[in-house]
Amino acid sequence: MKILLATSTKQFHHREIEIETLRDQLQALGALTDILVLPFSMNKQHLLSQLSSYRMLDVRHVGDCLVSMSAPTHILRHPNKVVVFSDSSTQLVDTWDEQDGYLDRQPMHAIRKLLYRAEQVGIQEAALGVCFSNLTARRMQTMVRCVVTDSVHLAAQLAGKHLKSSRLSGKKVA
Amino acid sequence: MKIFVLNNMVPFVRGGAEELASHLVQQLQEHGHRVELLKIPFKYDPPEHIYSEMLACRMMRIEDADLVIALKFPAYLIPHPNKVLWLVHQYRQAYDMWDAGTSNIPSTQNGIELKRCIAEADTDCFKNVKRICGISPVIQDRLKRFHGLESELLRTPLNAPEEFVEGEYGDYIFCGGRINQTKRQFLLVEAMRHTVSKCKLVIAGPADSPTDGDLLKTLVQKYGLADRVHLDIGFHPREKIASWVSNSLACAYLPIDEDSLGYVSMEANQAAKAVLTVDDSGGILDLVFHNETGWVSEPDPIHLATQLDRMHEKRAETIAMGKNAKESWLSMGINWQNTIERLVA
Repeated sequence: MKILLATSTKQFHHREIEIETLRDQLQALGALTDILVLPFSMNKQHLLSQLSSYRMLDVRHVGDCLVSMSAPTHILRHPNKVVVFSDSSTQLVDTWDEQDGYLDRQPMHAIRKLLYRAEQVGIQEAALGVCFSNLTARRMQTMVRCVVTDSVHLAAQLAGKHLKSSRLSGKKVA
Repeated sequence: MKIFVLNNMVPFVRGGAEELASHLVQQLQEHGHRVELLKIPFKYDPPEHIYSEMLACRMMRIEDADLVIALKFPAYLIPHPNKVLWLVHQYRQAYDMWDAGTSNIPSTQNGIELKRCIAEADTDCFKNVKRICGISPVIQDRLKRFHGLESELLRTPLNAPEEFVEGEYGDYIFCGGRINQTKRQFLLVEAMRHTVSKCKLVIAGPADSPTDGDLLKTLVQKYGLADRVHLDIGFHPREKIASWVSNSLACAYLPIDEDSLGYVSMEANQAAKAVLTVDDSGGILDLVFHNETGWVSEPDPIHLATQLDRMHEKRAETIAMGKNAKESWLSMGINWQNTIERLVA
């Protein structure tokens, strides 16, 4: 099984999940893996064009499965996509209304709405959603009204299951 | 310094450029920099898809980096005010391969338009970079020819020079690297049937296609060379390759018009092994000087056989030439220390 892992880099911040660890686990289970790393700037002016650029990249025919490891990469297109929910998504959900939230409220309201929608589209295309804490699971259920797995051994799931049978939206997935 | 290295990728395919990018990141980190490697997927088939690939790269943003080092098209189109191009490849199908009639871009009006757009995107990118370094004179020539641009020559160093050591000088000539028609391992096998000495040949590396591997096996069988030609076709870890190189009598490498010095020949010289090559091997000839650091033969089996016999029979001369080759190679100063200093200067 060929699994493509996708992540974005946000100016030398630590990635939310150790992508290399997941890669190593997958390889140990016999999967062939590769990692795609895209740039992503948090500069508000460029958010939409960057999201568009992600959407334009074509990895639809690459590998058996795409695992998008952080929020912007969720909108990459792939017929068998697994989205991993991490803390990066919180800026679109619960920290939005906090005083120290990343995005200003009024001037950026329209953009937030679009970002939110883009995230939803990316997630709803996915075959499986995965997160690593119950807190994130609850947060993401609020956002996309779907059930996600919690505390799963992602590598084992990926290597052991055919994921094409379900779509994420509104369905409970194992 | 915070540095981004930009490379594009064809997922699940790993070649020299990917190795180079990984080692560049590692070396930059060892020199105290904070480094991120970006790997942008590139799909060039069908060719019309290249429009959106270029546009996507132009729409991406990198911030909070002091320096960006970009290696290949179209990743180098990602904007940044302080970008150094260490150019491994432009999209050759829009340039020399188009002229040679070997491009995947069709010779239609649409194809011509795509070619023009690629050239324009490149020109726009190149005029906004801080510096352009080419990995070989061939790359520099293309830049000059198609864009009228001067560039610096910054050759690629060996990725793990410490693994290629002067070993025992065994009884075999080693030929490593990818196996295909353009690397011409088959010529060496054909040459072996014409040798009069008892020289031995080891060929090891991944075949680009089953046909490439089968051709060598067939030749060995056909000429009854199984006792003197050892084929180990497949991907081998670098340690194994390094061991073969380090313990060989000398090495052989016969590519057709190689752009660069060639990792195979650089590794050989690092291990104090002279190299047998041919007079149309391109960049290799910047490293192999006839009767000084190796042998430059004509690309035919008879001439190659003469050199193979000489390498075997004049063993002391072959070993001495290997030591010369190492000295000559090291004097070129192609190492990571110098490379990093120039890239971040």
